[in-house]
Formats: sequence, structure tokens, C-alpha cells
Amino acid sequence: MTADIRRIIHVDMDAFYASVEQRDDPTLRGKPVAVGGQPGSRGVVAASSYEARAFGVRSAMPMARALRLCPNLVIVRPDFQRYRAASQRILEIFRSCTPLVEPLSLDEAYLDVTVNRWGEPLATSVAKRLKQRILEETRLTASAGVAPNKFLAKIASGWQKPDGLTVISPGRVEAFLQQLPVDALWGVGPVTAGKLRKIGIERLVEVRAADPDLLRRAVGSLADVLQRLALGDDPRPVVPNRPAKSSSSENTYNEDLLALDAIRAEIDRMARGCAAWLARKGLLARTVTIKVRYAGFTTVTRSHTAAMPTRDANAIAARALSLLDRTEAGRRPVRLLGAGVHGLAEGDADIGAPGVLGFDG
Amino acid sequence: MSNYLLDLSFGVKRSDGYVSDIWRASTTRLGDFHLDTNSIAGVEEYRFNKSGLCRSAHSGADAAPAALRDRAGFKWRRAATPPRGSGRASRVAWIAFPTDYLSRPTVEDDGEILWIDAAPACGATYVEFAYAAEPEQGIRGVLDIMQDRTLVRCAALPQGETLVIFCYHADWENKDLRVPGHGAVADVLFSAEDPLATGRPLRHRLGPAPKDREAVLLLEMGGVAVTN
Repeated sequence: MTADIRRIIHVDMDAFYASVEQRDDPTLRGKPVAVGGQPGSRGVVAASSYEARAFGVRSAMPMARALRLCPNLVIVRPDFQRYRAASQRILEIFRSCTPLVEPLSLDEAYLDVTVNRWGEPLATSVAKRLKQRILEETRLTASAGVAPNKFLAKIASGWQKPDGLTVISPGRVEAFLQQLPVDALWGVGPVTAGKLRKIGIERLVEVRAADPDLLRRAVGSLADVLQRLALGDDPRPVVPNRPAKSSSSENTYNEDLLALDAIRAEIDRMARGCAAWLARKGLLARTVTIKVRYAGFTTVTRSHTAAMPTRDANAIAARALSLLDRTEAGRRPVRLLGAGVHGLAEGDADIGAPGVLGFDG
Repeated sequence: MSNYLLDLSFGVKRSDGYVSDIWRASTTRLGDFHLDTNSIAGVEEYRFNKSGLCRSAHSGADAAPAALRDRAGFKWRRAATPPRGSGRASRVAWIAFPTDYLSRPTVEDDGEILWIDAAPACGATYVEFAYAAEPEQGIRGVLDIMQDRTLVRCAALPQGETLVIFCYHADWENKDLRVPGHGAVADVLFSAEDPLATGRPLRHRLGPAPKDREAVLLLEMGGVAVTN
């Protein structure tokens, strides 16, 4: 017999930043809108309206390319204060239904509504009410996925957009899984998908029959997760107030950086910014990561994990600069730089107080 | 003496009286499990034999031609029953009855039918059939901790297996489905709205052909013939 049925909803706001802009400025309605940096300053698209998407404009695309695809594109500078305010209102709506709300970003969240404050026995009715209240109170539309677990709910919310509602009833899970390409899976990006295709796996369900050793050689520790997800099995709970797992920043430069000193100064600044963030949050980090994108758009990342977590700015900056030495920065023009910290640990509890030993008796 | 150890007629019923088709679940003294319902093409049968072989067929006056020696539509093997003590069961069939596609009743209730309460609107009632090697008491213990499932019936089979029938409510996405008649016959519209207020007189079951070790999955919906 299968486990208890959970009723999970994934809500994904439709083109969130662009929709907020179109809501607040009627002259933008019906027009292709991209929120992001200016093309002259090498800006990228943070979000695009559905009118812009019809031209192929997508998030993370260089704005210059977006403009080439859609010459009438209206570019709007992001205003995160307004996006955060709308997001906050939406979270309040979610929390009026259930305390089990796990925000993933400003514009998407998981809800576990198996038991909910509205007394609705089914998640479909909850999702309909959530969408209606979001529309009434924020004048924004959302798409929702209803399923027995997070993995299926998230894929379902993207199935019909905008303003969609997709329900994966237990009897429909298998038919739904059969349709999915392997890169629909959480954690499978283009690189991993390429590795899976090399061993003959195109569709998610083909992971089930794959030789476990072959799969492990291709994708490492992701193999076990993939095999479970390929069966539609995802026991991950909805965790409210999930603590941050990492912090990072990156910057695309108006002009390519050539001088190593300038590049080192940027990495140093970003690494110290991460250390300051750790200090503000009372956290420590074990892993330091940097990212370098060369002028030809080739991107490399380097990371270093230490046994002891730290928030010491000098130590973090030194490790980031050491990682930079393992790149071609200074020998190739650099378009983008980034630095981040991962592997976070809570406060001082993980490292203990130095110099104090325990004695019996 | 009856040839059947279990002989249960059941259906799903909404509070306004709308119902599913009536199903019969029975187990023979030989240890086979039969699941039947009436359809426009005679009796729709699903047979789960003690040996593990399974088949589906239509029988009755309007079903397969008499000249057809093997009436089986599909044949497959059911999954092995998990060993005793595993706390697990092997599902062999499940039927989804979406609430908003139930039909106005057309036959008299003779009082012998077990009516299962339908899920709320936008939901579906699932009735599942599974084999376990556990005794009924063990199965009740498992289901007691799974609060969303209700045990409908348990039937001990002579080979030591137990047939478990349970039900639960789940979400359902109400979408219109129109099966084209291609001009030869009328289209059939399955709609939660029932725009013509017909009561959805035509009840059909849809589902993929079962493969070995898979459970039969059926979706039962009520629809209406439409000409345009």
C-alpha cells in the first residue's frame, strides 16, 4: 500500500516582475516588457512579460539579444521594493490557509494543505481559492500545480501558464511521468541532461530501467534521487521558514575586465560582502565559490570546502582569490564575476568555544 | 452454498443522489477475484486468477461475437504479493470516480448496494483492490494509521492471500473530454458542467491496457451523446 496521501500545491506567479510593472503602469499593458538592466550596460533580462516571451525573450538572456529578438521591447529597471511588497501580500494569503508555506523565491512557494485552516478537504478547491484571492487582492495571476508531492506539484504548475491550474490525481501520476523529458527533473540542468542522453536516457521514466552503476557513473550521487523521482516518489516535506543555504553575488561589467589587479579587487570585494552577510545572519560557511565568465561566454566555477566553517572576511577573501588563480582571469577578458558562500552552519554552536576542554569529575 | 466467498455490490454516490455504475467484486472458492460492471457492450469483466494470470473481457448479448473463442481483451500477470510481515500489499486494480462526472441514477436501489460517499466537488473517489499476505487484523492495523484511507472490505482467499478493498478521496482536475464519433455515431461529451442537464446517462470507463505486474487503472465518467 502506498503512503498517506499528501495534498501539495506549488504556486508560481506568472511573469511576476513584469506583471507587477504592467499592473502599476497601464501604458505597459499589452506590450512586450522586459525587466532588467539596460543593453548598453550589458544588462540581462530578469523577467519578461508574456508578450515579450512570444518573441523568444527569456530570463537571464542578455538584454542586447532580447532587443534583437524584439525591437519594440520596453525595458524597465527592476524595483524590488514593489515586488517584495506584492510577494509579502501573497505570502499572507498563503499563510491564512496553512502555516506550511515554503517560499522558494519572491514569486513561488510550496504549500502543504493536507490539513488547512480553510477546512477544504481537497487541494484543488484550495488552489482555486488561492488563485482567486491573489487576483482580487494583488491584481496578479498565478499558476498552480496540485499533486501528492513537491516534485510533481512544481512540474504541474508550469504545465499550463499563465493563470493555469493543473491537478495530478494519484491515478494520473504515471501518465504524467511518461510525458516528461529527463531535463524536466529537479536538479537536472543541460549538462546533466547531456550526460543522461549519452547513456540513452531521453525520458524521465527511462531512468527506472537504467543500470544503477552506469547511472551513478554518469551523474554521481544524483542517481539515487533521479531513480526515486522517476517513480514519482518525493517524500520531501514542505518546510516553512527554510533557512538560507547559500549567499552569492555576481556582476556583469560594462567593459570586459582585462587587468588581473582589477579582477582580484572585484573578487575580494564580493567575498568580503559574503562574509558581511554571514555576520549579519549569524552564520558560518564551509564552502567558498567563485564564478568567472569570459568574453566568449564560457563560464567556469571554482569552489573550495574547508573542514571548519568560518565567517572571517580575510579568510574568505583569501580563499576566493586563491580560487581565482585557478582560472584564466588576467589572460582572457572577463565579462562577469561572482563569489558565494555555501555549506552554511549555525552561529558558534558548530565550532565550539576555543580553548575550552571538558573534564570529568 | 454460494460459490463466492465475497460477493459485494458497490458504487459511489454523491449527496444529491448522483451515482457511479454498480460494480460487483467477488472472490471464488478457488481463490480467484472477479470485478464486473455492466456496460453498453454487455458485462465488463476483470479476472484475477489465483495463478496470477489476469484478463479483461466483455460478455453478454451485445459483447464479443460467439464465434470468437477467446473473449479476452487483455491478458497480463499481476504483481507478486509481498511476503507476510512486510506490511505491504500489491495493488491489482484501482478505479477513479470523479465526483463531478457522476450520473443521475437510472436503476432502483435494491438495498443490497454498498454506497461509498463521493469526494467533494473537484475531487475523485478512488476504490483500490490489493492483495496482501497479512491477515485482516494486520491490514486493519496498517489502514488505521493511514487516516485518509477507509477499508471497504477484506476477504481471505484459500491460498493464504487476502484481498483488500479500500477507498479514499483525492484531487481531480475537471476538464471536458469529447470523444469523436467521426460522423458514424454521435460524439460523447464528458463534462463536469453537464450543460444540457442530461444527468450524464452514458457511463464509460477509460484506462490504459495493463502490462505484466501493473494494476488495472480505470477512470469512470458519465457523459452524453452530442451531435454538434
